[in-house]
Order: sequence, then structure tokens, then C-alpha cells
Amino acid sequence: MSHISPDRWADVAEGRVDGEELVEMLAHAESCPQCAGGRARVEAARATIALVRGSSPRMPAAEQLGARVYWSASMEMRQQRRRLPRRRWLAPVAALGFAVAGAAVAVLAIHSRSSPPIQEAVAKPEREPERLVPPAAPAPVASLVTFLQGDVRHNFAQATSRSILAAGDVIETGAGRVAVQFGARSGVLVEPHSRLEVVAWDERVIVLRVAGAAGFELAPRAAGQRFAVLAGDRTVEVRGTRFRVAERAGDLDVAVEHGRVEIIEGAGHVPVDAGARLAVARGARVGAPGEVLSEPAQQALAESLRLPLLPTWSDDAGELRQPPPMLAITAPAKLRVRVDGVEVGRGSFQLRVASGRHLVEAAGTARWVDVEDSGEPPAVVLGTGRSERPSQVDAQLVTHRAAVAQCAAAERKAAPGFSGQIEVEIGIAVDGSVSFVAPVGRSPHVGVERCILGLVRDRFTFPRGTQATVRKAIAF
Amino acid sequence: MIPTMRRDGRPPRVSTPGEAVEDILRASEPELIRRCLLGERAAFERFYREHARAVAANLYRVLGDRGELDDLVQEVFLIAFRGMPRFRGDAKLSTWLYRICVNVALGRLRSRARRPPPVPYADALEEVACAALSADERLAQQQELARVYRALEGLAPKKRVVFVLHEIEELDIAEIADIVGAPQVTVRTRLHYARKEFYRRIAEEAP
Repeated sequence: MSHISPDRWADVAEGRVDGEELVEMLAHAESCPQCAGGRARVEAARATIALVRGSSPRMPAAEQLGARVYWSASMEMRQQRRRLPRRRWLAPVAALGFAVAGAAVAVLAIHSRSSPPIQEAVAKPEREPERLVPPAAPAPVASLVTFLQGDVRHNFAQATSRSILAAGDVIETGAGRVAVQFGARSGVLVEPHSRLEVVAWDERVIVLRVAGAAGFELAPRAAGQRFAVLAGDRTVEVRGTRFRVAERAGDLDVAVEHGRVEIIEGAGHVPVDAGARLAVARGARVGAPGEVLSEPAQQALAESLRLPLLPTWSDDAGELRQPPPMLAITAPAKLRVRVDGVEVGRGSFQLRVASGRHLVEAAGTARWVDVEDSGEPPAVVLGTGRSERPSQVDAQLVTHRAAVAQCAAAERKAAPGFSGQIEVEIGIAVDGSVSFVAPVGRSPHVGVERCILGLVRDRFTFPRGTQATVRKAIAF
Repeated sequence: MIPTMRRDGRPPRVSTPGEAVEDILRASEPELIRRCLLGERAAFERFYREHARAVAANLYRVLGDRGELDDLVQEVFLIAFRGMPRFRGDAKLSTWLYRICVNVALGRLRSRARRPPPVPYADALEEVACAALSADERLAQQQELARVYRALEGLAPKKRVVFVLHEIEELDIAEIADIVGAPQVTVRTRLHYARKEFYRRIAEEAP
């Protein structure tokens, strides 16, 4: 018998050889050291392959890698979205270009036929070829969060007082509101359950896409500056004004408090003047003029457009780049809060005010608060005092201490002494139900985090009381 | 919380952040992909968390080293996100991802053939070595592993991928054919020659 092919030993190991052939192969291996050695090495290799099968690489940078992947993917998606409007511009711009070039050629042809050629008496001095200098890119607009309340996300992460806008950014609100100032005297207030996408954001053009509702206060635009709001298939073009745009499932509602806006849909456009409102249902064409708002409706509109802007000493928006810290106001959900005599909102929120002393009032309680340009963000607690909810959360944590510990049991078994903590935000409704539980930041212990979030959501119970969001560090 | 406008014209469904996370956790594969395409971070996170380890493990087993594993995992997910709009759902998400892994690994193997890695298998040796073994046993095991990966390195990239998918990942011929995008007969032929060549190299190596 000739030598046995090594892969046949693998077949033997897999049980694919039997009967006489197997007997012959084994007999041969006993008398042939070369084949016996080959068989031993094949079997050792197979054992090693089984070892590799059960192995998996350590991924020490799993979280960072996840963030990297998300960042790269979302950047690509944003760039794709940004490229889309350009393509729409391309065709009309190209057509216009061709038309202008054609007209110029025609004019030249007529001119050359009608007038005799003129001999130039003086030779033209040779001009130096002009150096091509690329036009400077328009600078992005400085922006600043001036009001922040409740559930607001900036690029899918919780918005903070330090969030700044750039082209491609997305702001989404849940049960929350956010105001962003741009330039010295302009700003946008994103209302609850809305989405604002920044399509263009530079000194020449600002284009924002709204789904939901947003209020705008806009300083008059300089020549060559453009400000537009995209709402569904329609565009709201603005010069300088205060107005509100609501777009929900294709229905458009535009109300103007001051100035004038123009609603453009396809080739048609309708102006809406101060004190008027234009509502266009989904599928309907823009055509009819807007209706005049009643006195109470105008007042309500003015209330909704009260947009907190940080006063600047000059029109230089650069001042926005070094703002004072935001004032954090804690108050029961329904309590109206006034700052320096102006009602700003209800419940808890953060507000950007100029440095100096400010009066914060609610339900007959007033507090003076000093805001400094740098240092710790100032905080004010108003109303009926602190919410009862934090102490109730503490009590629940004591009650469910064993269950929390159990969440980390597997990790503790693998690594005795394992411990850590996660920070969570627990939303508690008036009826005592847990309205949401969300982690604050990222925990390296995903399984433990998920277990604790589930525990809080499913097993924590609270009595009726005030609506509150409690932030708590839970140790395990 | 993402206030997505509904196609039927009803107002957006209002949900709390906790519900949004729950929604994502409960979402079916098509729903998850749809929400990834909307740019929802939570959807990205679930997709990544569910598949990252399998993707890394697959790349690692095919390639045998961890040198560029992070970059390759990132590449796989980027290709996946780019290709999501074209994912028709006629294969399972994991199979589709497997296919991308294999293509990325093949690309890496081809470039490696032109430019050999400076420290091959160092990580594989470290990962697989069992802590419970004595120093001598660990050394023997590491030598055996090095032998296996040297033999694999000798295979042409396509043969190597088929061999790894069959022998290490234990996939059947139909699944491999689906992943590498080749007829089953081709896969069977590649596997036959890959096994022959691999075990010949193993048997010929001095112990």
C-alpha cells in the first residue's frame, strides 16, 4: 500500500472512513513511521482547530470602537444628506448658466455685425495674469444654548449647556424644549416632540429643517444673507422677523408676530404678514392668503415666541463663544418661574443669563442669584422645596438592594471583588409610575446596566406625588 | 426620543427615553435597520452590540491575529451601514454581516500576501493559550497553533476562507456558498483542495 494522504487521516478522525479501508490504513500506519507521524500531526492540528473554534478575541476597546463606528457611519449619513440639496440645485443652476452663456454669445454676435471693427490706436499694456485665489469659505455661525428643559437630544446624545450647532446637526426634543441663540440677536426655540435639522449654517446661508414646531426670532438679514426653514415640501423664506413654524405629518402652520415671511411651494409663493397665520393641510396647495390672528391668538403667539437671548454688548456674535454658565432652576413641574420679572417657563430648566445679579421668582418665593462669568454654574431651588422623589428613590434602592447586587452576580463570580456604579435618570410621573429610566453616560458593564435599568423600570414603585426626574448613582 | 412623523398622517407617537430604548430592544430586524437608517443612535448601538463580538471573532479566526482587528471590525460595520439601504432582508442579518466579514477578511488576506505581517499570530497564541496548563504544555500548545496558522497562511485566500468557515466555524456547504457567493459545487471543490493542501502542510511540518 502506498503512503496515506494526510487529509484521509482527517477523514478518519471525522468518522468518514470505515470497514476494510480503515483497517488497511491503521495497519499501514503501524508499519510506516512516516504515515504514523503524519496521522499524529493531523490529529494534533484538529485538536488545535477545536481550541481555536472556542476562542474569541478580547475586545478591550469595544465601547470606543462602537463610538468610532457610530461616528464614522453618522458622519457619512450626514454628508450624504448634505449633498442631496446640492444636486437639486445643480440642474437649474446649469440651465441658468447655459442660458446666460447663450445670451452673451448672441449679444456679441449682433454687436460684431452692427458695428465696424475698431483699430486700437494704443496697444493694450500686457496685464499680469490674475492669480487665482480660492474664495474664503463662509465662517460658521457662533451659537449658544440659552434655554434647556427636559428631554433634549443633540446628535442623538443628551444636549448640554455646551452644545453648539454645526451644519448636519440634529436637535430632537421629547418632553423638553431648547433655545439656541445664533448671532447677536437671533435664535430658535425648538418645542416639545420636534426635530430640527441644520442643513446649512454659515454667515451667508442658514437653512433649518423642522418637523414638529419651532419659534424663530431673527435679526434683519444683511444683503446676500439668506435664512430659510424647510417644513415638509415647503420652504419658509424670511428676512427679519419673529414667527413660528409647525409641521406635523405634512400639515403646515405658520404664524408671524413681527415682519413678513414667504411660503414657497414649487413655483407658487404666498406672503404672510405680521399678525397673520397660514395653515396648509397635507396635500393642499399653498395659494390662499393667511388669516388675521385674533387678539388672544396674537398674545398666545407672542408668549410662545418669548425666546431667551443672551444680551451682547455689540453685534459681534464672537461674544457668544465665552458665555457665562447656565443658571439651573429647580421647581415643581407646574410652577411658573419668572426671571428678572419675565416668565421664562414652568418647572425645572437651565437658563443662560448675563453675568450679574438676577431675581428668580415663583409662587410667591423669590431668590436673588449671582451669576459670574466663570466658576460653578449657579443653582436655585424654588416652590415647595425639594421634591419628595429623591428620598423615595433612595428607599426603593434599599428595598431592592439584594436584587441590585444580583445584577452583578455573574461578574462578581468571575472576578471576586467586582464592583462599580452606574448613574441613571429616573422619570417619575404624577401617578407614581416610572415614565422612563435612562443611563447617564456609558457604562463598561453593559449587562449589569441593562439588568439595573430593567429592575428600576419594573420593580420600583412610588406613591402619587409630584412629577420629577431623579438622577441617581447606583452602586453594585 | 425620536418624534418620527407617521406616514398615515397621525401625529408622532410620544414616548419617553426609556420607552425608546425599550422600543429598540424589542425591534425586529427590519425595524432595527429602518431606525439605523434614520440615524437613531440607540439602534446603531443595539446593532453594534449584538454583532460586534461575532464579527470580531470571525475576522480573528480567519486571520489569526488581532493587529488590525479594531480597524477591520470598523470597516465591516461601515460597509454594513453603507449597504443597509440595499439590504432586502432575504438573508438573515447575521448571514449578511458574515458575508461582509468574509469579503473584508479576503481583502486583508490578499494584501497580506503582498506584504506579510510583521508579527504573525502573536495575538492568536496569547488568546488561545489556556491559563490552566503548565508552562511546558502552554508552549507545546502555542507551537501547535503556530503550525496550524502557518499551514493556513499557505492556502490561497479563497481556499482559506472556505476551509475556515467549514472546519472552524462549522458551517455547511450551502451556508458557505451563500456567504462567499459561489455555487455549492465550487465551494465543495475549493474545500476538497483546501483540506488536502492544509493537512499535507501539517503532516510535512517537522514536529
